[in-house]
Amino acid sequence: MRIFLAIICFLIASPASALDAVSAHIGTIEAKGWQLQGVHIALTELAKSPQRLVLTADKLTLPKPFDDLSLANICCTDFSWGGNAMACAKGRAEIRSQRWQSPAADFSFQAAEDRSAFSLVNLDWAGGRLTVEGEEIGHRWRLKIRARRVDVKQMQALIKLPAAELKDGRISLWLNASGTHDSIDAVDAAVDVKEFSGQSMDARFAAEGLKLAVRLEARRDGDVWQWLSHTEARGGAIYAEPLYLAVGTEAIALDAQGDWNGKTRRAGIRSASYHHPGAAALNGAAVIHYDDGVKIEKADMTLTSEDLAGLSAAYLKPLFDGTALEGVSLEGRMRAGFAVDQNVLTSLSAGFDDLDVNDEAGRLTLQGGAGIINWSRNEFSNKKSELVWQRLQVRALPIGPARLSFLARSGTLSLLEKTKLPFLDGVIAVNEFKWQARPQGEPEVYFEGNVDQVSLEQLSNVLDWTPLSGTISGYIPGVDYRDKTLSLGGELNIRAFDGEIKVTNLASSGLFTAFPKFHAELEIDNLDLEQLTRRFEFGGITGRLSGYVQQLYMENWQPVSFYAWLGTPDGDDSRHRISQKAVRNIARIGGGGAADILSRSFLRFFETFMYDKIGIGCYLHEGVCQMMGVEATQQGYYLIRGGGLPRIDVIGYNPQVDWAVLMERLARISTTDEVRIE
Amino acid sequence: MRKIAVFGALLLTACVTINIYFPAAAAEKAADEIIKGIQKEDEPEETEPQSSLSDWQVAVFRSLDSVINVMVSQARAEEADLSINTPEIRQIRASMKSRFPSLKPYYSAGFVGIKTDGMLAVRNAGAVPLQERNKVNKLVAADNTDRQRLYQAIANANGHPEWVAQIKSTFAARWINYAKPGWWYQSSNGSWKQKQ
Repeated sequence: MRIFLAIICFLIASPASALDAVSAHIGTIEAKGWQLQGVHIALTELAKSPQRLVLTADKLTLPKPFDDLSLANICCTDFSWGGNAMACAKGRAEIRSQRWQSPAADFSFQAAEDRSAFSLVNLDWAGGRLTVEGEEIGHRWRLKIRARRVDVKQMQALIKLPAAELKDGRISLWLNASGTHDSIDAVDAAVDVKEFSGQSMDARFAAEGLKLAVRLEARRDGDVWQWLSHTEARGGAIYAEPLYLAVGTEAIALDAQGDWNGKTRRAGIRSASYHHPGAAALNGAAVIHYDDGVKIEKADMTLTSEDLAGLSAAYLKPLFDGTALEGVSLEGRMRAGFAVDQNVLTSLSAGFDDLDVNDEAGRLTLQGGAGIINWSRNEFSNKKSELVWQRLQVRALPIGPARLSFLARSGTLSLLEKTKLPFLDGVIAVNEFKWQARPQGEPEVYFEGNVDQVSLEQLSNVLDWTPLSGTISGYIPGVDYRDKTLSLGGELNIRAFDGEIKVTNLASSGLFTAFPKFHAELEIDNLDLEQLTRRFEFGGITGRLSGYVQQLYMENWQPVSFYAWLGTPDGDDSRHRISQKAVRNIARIGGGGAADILSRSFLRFFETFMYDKIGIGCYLHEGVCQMMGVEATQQGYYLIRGGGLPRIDVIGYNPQVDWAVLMERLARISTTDEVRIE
Repeated sequence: MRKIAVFGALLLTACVTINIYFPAAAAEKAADEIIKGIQKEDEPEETEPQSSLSDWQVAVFRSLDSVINVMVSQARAEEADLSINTPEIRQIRASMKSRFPSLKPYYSAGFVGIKTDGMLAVRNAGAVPLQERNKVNKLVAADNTDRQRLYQAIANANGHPEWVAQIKSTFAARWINYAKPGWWYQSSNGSWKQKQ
């Protein structure tokens, strides 16, 4: 032991009659990184044997890795020095570090040729108790720290943790570390956190009343660390953007082990097991490389959930919030496996049982779902996927039990078998479906199918329309997806009221968003007005009705623009009669111009009238309907042109009517049960 | 030679510069209409009286018609100089309107404030209850995206994509103006103030 003594002052004899004490003032004592400054050694009780050696010093600095710590105002009442060894078996000192300092605590140290050690016991620190022990034998060292019930708020004030705000809680720590020179070779640590509340300064990570226990064991072998950890959250809540996890009665636990190489910046997780009771269990292995961002080099994971409702509430809801999937939740059971290679998902296999999908916005509901989805990045994969359900509902439209069998690989999804979807007493048959993603540009969709005998009565019922009767059939030869708009080729034919309505150029975008848009063209051919008016409480009319709705464009289920005409077809030879009530209602749509004449004149005694033609047209643009009739008059247009006797003409005078007002009038007609004729 | 000089001078004087100035008043009017529309909460529907029509009712209908017609033509005549009626703008407005009821309690609680540039900010993220923190962040982010899209859509709809900054600053003042008492906004010096 090399000891340099810079003796400034030496023996000072007391002026007392008998010499009972001697003291020496020594500037600095240095040994292997240890340094005692401002040393004062006194030999007291000289008369007794053995004499007592008392050391006081201003400061003790420790070698690496303890060099952040130093002791100040040292007073050692049991000091020995000799034979290349210096020891203090009992002392008190204050602790200094760059970040904090403490009141005086008990300490001891030994500094010998082959062994140095120190210990600090029962140090009151941040509302808790701290014990630190360090030992160095040759080039090896070990450190032991025990901290009990340290108050995090006081700790925050002492060590001024950056980027965090600690509000409440107690931390207990148990740490054993050892190493050689200034490197660490092994760490064993356990942290126990009670009722912890705090958050990072950016508020992206936070905890409330958290009870957490962490255990970590790590050993270094060359550049590689082998580690093993167990983390358990036993209570409280954690927020790690975007996840919010409230710990229930059962603990959430994570067990993991692996290796870590700081030089190659690679971490291997040999096995990891995350268990969140009531939600999910995730198991697997992974290799992670972090350099410029984190990269998953390889991962194989399985995710099991016995309660998808729990998984959905805890993990999916925060991810879905603020996206198109907001409000979507799942129920049922799932077991999924997935593999990642170089940050890219290479395969996914998910099996479902008792699956229910619910959507608060009512866009899509699935009940009694089951099946397996197999997807692979490999374009030659032949693993079949299958999905069955008892009930599927798209907005208000219910689809009965069905089974879909398909192949999902690379960027394609293709139906393997023709599928019939029961729909409102009829069927939507999907003969072929293929979806192909294109890296550049929009996906290609191929579809071929038909709609067969779908009940219009049920359709009007589920859509909450006035009940209609008839059926819808049609052939859809293709689907085109362009500009985020899905367009159906072919045409849908609606057979209703002894006539036909043909729907063509049907296109939609944003069908599942809060703002769906629709385009369509309608051709109305030869409907029987008697059947039609009977359904609508409009007032009886006999005759036929034809027309069209061109360039219909709807946003959020409301028409925005169209060009429509409905009227008596040319050359119609059916019986043309119109009731008093219908006349009034047509007059009210047009603006009430004829209603008073009808009421005041003798015509009010007639139940029905003959007519030559009736017709109404509207060009809707920017919320205003440009009205049209059967024929233009000098000031207006005929809505009803009479024929025979008694003759009645209804003429509209308002060329423009606000669409909202027009709709309100129509609504009023359907809610008015009867019209009194005075 | 002199003729050419005179002609040249004439040509010079014939140069007319057409400046298209940003229609500030119209932009303000458009902002008012849009913001009011977004913040308007749906009132309960009135039940229509179900009764038969009498003569006086017919008369009322007729007069109503003429009034509506007048209103329609007036509305068209006084249409804002800035066009705000494109599918894209309608879509963004609908999206913001549907988000407003979710944002409103956070405005009132002081978690969300309006910045000087009219964009939203989570004022004191640390004070937001953990359970709602993600939702508040997502709502604010989504509304800010919509706001920026809205300004660009209005600028585009009026054939001046370069107006986006002016439209944004016009809206900024109007958003603060339409803030309800108790809501927080950022003053020009950057400090937060509560609307009285």
